[in-house]
Amino acid sequence: MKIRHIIILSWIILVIAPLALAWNQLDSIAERSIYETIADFNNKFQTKDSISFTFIVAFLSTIFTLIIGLPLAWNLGRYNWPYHNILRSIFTVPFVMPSILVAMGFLALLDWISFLTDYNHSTEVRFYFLLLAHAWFNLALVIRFCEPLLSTIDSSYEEACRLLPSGKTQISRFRNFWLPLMWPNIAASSALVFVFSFTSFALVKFITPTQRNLEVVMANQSEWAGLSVPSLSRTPSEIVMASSTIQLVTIIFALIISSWLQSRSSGHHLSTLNDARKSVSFKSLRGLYIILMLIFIISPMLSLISSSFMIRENNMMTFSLDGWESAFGGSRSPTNAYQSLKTSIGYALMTIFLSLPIGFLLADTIFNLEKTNPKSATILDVLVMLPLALSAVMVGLGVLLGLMRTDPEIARSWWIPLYGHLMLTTPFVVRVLLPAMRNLNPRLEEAASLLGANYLKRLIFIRISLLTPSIIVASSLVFAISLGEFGASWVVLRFTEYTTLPVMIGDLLSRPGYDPILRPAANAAGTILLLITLVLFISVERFRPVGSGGEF
Amino acid sequence: MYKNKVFLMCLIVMCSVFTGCLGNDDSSDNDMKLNIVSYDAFGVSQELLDQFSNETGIIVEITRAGDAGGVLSTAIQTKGTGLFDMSIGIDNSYLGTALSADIFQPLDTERSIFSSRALSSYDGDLAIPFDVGSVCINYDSNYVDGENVTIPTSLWDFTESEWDGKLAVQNPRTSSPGRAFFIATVDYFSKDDDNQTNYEDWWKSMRSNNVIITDGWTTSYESHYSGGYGQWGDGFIGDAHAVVSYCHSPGVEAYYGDNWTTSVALDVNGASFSQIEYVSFLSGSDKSKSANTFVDWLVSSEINSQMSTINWMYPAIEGGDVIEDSGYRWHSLVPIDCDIDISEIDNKISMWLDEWDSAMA
Repeated sequence: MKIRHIIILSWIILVIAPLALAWNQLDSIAERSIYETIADFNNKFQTKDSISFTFIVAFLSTIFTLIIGLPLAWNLGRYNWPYHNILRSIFTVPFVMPSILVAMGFLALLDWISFLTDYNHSTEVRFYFLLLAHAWFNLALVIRFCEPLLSTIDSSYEEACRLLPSGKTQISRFRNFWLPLMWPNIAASSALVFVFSFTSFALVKFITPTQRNLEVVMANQSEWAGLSVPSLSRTPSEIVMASSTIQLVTIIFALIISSWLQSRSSGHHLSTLNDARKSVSFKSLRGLYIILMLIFIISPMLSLISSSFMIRENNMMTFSLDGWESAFGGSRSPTNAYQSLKTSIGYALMTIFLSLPIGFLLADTIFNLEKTNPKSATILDVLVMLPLALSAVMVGLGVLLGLMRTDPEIARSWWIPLYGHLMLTTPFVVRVLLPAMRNLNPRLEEAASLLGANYLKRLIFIRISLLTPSIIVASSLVFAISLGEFGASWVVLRFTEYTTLPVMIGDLLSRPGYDPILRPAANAAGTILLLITLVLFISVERFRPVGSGGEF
Repeated sequence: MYKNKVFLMCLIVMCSVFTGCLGNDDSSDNDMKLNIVSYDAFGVSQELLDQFSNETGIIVEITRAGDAGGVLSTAIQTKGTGLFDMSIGIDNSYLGTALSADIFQPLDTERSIFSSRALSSYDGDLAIPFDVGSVCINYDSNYVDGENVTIPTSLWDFTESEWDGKLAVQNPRTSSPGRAFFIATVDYFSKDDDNQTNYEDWWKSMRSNNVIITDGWTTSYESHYSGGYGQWGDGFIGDAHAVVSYCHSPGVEAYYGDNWTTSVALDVNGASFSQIEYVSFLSGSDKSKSANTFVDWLVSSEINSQMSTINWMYPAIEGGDVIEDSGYRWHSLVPIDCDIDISEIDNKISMWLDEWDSAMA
């Protein structure tokens, strides 16, 4: 029990400490109050319209994602398709794609569309593309939250509904049966889609470069915020404080709603252990819909892959392997794709090693608290999810300040980037394991306890044994997210010897593209990342049993 | 279940194998290793740096920190810690701030090897110039054909309707070329014939004329500018027919475009900023000998004369020029730049930027 408390306390410190350090530093420089700064937002170019833009984008993206995601979740949950696991992997893999790659993919797609339709995309079109990219990115949240429940509701319940006056039509069954059953899951997934769209950085930065959401505003100020030169850092510090306050309050509110709704979603007893899905083939109208959705998902990926083979030569685009040669040869970057992939895999495995036990203990604690102290369970749950809500700027600044004040040499340690990976992945371990723990039959452990099995034996032979599929799914998620992690590694000092694949891509993209090989090389490195993640997801999907394996 | 356990076992074995990839090689962490913070776009290749290491035994470790402002902010944040030994890329628009922050130590570099332009902003021993280039407006000659649209002769011409939404500039708070051009406008409008208006009036007029403002050079040049290489890449919009870039950017375009480009640098006296980039030895480091060796190598005739192809800038040494291949030199303009003192920039930049922020809102 003591180790559990230490880990939970360490987690809280790891989450809160950088934030507190950064806040303290910003506060010592800022002169105006947060309220005054926010009131002045629309009078300054840096911040003008950023609040409304952030909320509009997050709100519209959430609606857009639900419109696209719910029918897809329904079709994956209620029907058994040929190659179902592969389909499910493809539909959920966008979520773990590094956002910088998603932006590149969508920009490449925009180009193909303008090439095929002869229509030069304007800033307005890009806004809608941003919403589409958010929907593409967050589709997995809606599917993962809704599909497991849908796949285990026995069709006899719906048959029974048909006999009732209020369940005669499809619409009335949806309103009176499916919606009341599904709404906690729909609302919980909406809350998370809202959070991710609210904090979106790379997609906004690359797809709508002339508009700024709060995350971009903060990133723009990050150079000078908190610096001990007040004449330069006062305004940036005030802007970062005000922006992060709006962001934090909004997101904590959304996460509380999400956590509360999720704990409610385990309240019905209509799920069966049986697979309730009907088999269906692609040769139907429903099949056509799935194929169209598949095209929607894979087209940005295909655009990215095809761009890696196209190179500018004598002012025209031609097929070439030079980008791939450069990526693997490292001729345009400090490291090559082999080396950075090796570093990425090293970090990803280390992250699994750390975030799995931490996430397991956090999930277990929340699970136990739900029975004894639901309020504390919600608070801990929000605290677990909080890192996803923190701006990379605040975390980066906090880590940097913390390290500078203690021992600057630590900043050069190989394990520093692990911090960002850990913060980003552990919430997902909890999200996968917690619902799986809720599904465990408590009598098994009670029986083992009566037979004399101690806590460790019960943990190894019952809990971990039964949760193994979920642990494998969580591992793959951690591995994929860590492999694609870009934001935190980019903000914390980037030392060459720890260059991961996404950082190498960012490095190639941040140089002027006069040299025609730079962009194809970045696309080639991106393609490697994409293919590894895809293969990983497809191979692990079979471990996810129907209806279980978590709400994520 | 057996399959699952095998999977977990494999995972544990892989963890132990791969985590070995992350160890730090401490053997080189001594006087013979230079930790340098540079901007992202610093183009000196790893091959050249390896060549330097082979010749001198000094290992160079480059950490990238965004743009010139990022380098300065990192240098200030890590001041006196010894985390970084040197900085590369702080330019003359930031140099005044850097000097005030007292973050540099002197270097022994011989000053006589540099061009007068390279020493024009600062000729002391705390910051050594390694390349130069002027920031100015580039235009697409497909649009500015001299008949339907005439070549602008004053910055005021960009406030006319034919330039409505067609000039892309960078946010001076977030981009080094954007900041350089902004400083040029401050100086340009303070010295023009019209005493009734200043830079604020011009920027306000530009706002009314829908000037495109991006956070970085890459977006404005690659996505918005119709006359650059961006037209061949992903996400091209091409709605701007003029962009703030370097006066030799058309030369670089021609170099990579087989002596073909439609991009031209605008030649308006005083409407450009002569950007000088410096290498410095940071306070807190005790690797003076290695730092001097590196600077001597960077400004040596052999390396510095290649700046136009390795860092897309003019060499800082006397007689240095961009190369002539593929029309690089022919398409590069050497303008009459604005003339503004670095201490004035340091004293007034915060005020100017605040005024710009309000004018553009």
